[in-house]
Amino acid sequence: MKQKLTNLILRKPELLTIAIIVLYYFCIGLINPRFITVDTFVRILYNGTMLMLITVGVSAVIITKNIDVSVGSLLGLAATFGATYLNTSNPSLLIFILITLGSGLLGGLFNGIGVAYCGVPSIIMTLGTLALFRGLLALYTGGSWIDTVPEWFLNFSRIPVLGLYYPTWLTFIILAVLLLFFTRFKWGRYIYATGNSLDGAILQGIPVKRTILLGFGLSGIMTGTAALIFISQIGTIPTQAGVGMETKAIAAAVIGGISLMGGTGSVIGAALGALLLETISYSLVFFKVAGFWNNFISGFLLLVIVVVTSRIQIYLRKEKEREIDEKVKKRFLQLAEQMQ
Amino acid sequence: MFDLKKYLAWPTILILLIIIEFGIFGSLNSRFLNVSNLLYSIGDFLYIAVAALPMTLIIVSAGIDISIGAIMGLGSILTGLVWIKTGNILLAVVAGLAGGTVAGTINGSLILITQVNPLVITLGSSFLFSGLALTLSGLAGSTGFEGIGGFPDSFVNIANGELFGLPNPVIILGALIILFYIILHHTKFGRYLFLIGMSSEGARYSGIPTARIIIANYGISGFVAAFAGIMLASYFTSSRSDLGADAPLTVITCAVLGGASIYGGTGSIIGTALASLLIGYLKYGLQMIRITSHQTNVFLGIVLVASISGRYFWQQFSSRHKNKMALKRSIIQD
Repeated sequence: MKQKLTNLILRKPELLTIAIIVLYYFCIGLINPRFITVDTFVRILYNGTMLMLITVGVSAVIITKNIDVSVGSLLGLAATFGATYLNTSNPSLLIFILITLGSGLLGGLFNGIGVAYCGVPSIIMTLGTLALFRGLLALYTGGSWIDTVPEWFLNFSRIPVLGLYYPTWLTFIILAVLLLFFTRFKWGRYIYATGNSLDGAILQGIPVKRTILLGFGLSGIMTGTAALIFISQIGTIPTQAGVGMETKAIAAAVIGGISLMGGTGSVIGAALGALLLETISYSLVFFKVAGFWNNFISGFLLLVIVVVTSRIQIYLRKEKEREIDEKVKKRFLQLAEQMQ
Repeated sequence: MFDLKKYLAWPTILILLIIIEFGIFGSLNSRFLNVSNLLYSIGDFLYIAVAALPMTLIIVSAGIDISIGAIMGLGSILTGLVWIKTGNILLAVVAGLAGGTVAGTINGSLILITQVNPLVITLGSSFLFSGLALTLSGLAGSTGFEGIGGFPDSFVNIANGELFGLPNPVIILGALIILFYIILHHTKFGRYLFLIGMSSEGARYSGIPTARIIIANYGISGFVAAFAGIMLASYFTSSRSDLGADAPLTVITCAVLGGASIYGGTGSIIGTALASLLIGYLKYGLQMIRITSHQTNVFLGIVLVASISGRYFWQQFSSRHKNKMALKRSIIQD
């Protein structure tokens, strides 16, 4: 029984995340039962769509054993390009979506080409583009905000459909498609293989360079999708749009059980990690905690969660090793008996 | 035979780049090449250059520290807070430095306890420390981002004064470069860092106390980051919780541009010092020809990516060249 549980948690680290989310809701519920309502949950799902999408995109990169810290700036850049087009006379919806998603995709591919084909370590490449994209944004807008998004597009995200909002459904559909892609499709499995062992993947004949490019492309296009939601949810695009999003996304991915060592993790875990972070920040707003405590508390909770989950995983791994040792020992003794 | 390799070492290329940079900015704006201007502008990027030194140590040991920006804010706000409460500036500076050291030690300990990638830990702790700094400044009554000011002249003079005709920042930077050069390249501690960076398992099996060294390393980084924060407070004559928030990107850029590999095991203090001069004067020069800080960001990103990929292609080219030469030699011998 215990053995089965150990194996299950080691294989599916997102179960730990679910446990933490339930525990968090329980603790909050003890303090203030009014927090636990369907309405709160719907709101968290609505607020958390951007973070969920970006986390899933960044996870695709992390699973290939790279990292993408440029998504915050890319989100701002894609949102700026999209919103600028919306402000022209007579914009068409299709071209607007193409521009926003396309600029996200191009940014991601730029990162990917640098990492896969020019030998730049991913953290350096994306730190560079973090500054580059932000600078391009400021150059493009000249430092001014875009705050005239057409009314019809703003209303777009506020229509409730079957109890949830439009962006939430969109996110769910994308998550389902990606889940299928990561578990059932050849290129999805390539991503895991590349992250698990680069040399092994090369020897297997997997086109690792194109796989890494695919990971960064996914991250870029998810950021573009998040930019679409950003425009419709928030309605103004400041030059600071998306600052700090990259740190949140990486933190969410790690909480969701995606190892920075590459090769493990799942889309569901990433989404759950993002959900947990969003729940924490929503609960801080709910309890009307003074603004300057916000960073401190979320940083503290983040570290506590990382420490607890990593300790549990280290413990489980040791437990499993001991179990295997015992099995080997037993088998050895059996063999020795037979020999006599 | 003319040994090309010796002269094309990375620091030489950095020096060449600095000379080219001075040439370009000097021809665009004649005021740029004024020696006293150049010396005094070091105060502008002292905090970057100073923090890049321990960052090199950390990158050499295959780690990374994103939280230095937050620790700079924490160090400066602690100094301001203690100064307001006690009125003793020496005590205030000691408190700021101690706070930074404790913060760095927490980073190191957490990395060891959790075995999680340093990037994640320092990212989380940077939220924690910057939040703590903001909370402390809120408790001190300076609402939001308004700073704590009113420091005595002796404190303000640290970063703005002169000694022997040289501005203090130049002397501070020089002393720290020499100190860290000795630590990394001429002590046992430094050699251990290289070993840990190459293979932490290997280092542990050969009897090196890796745990203690890693904690000490992050402690040093925290101490120096707090020092840089205090220098900023002294330079701007007020301490704010968000001082140095933009530092991590530039600091890591300096260390990597200086030749430290992000995968650990290589790096040099001389390279880092030259790279931080290169980037510092790039920012200063771009300011002088009236380019805004946003545009500077574009330049910074391009310089970083282009130089690292350039180095990669150069290595590929030179190793291919070497292989070809070796092949030729073996054919001749046969």
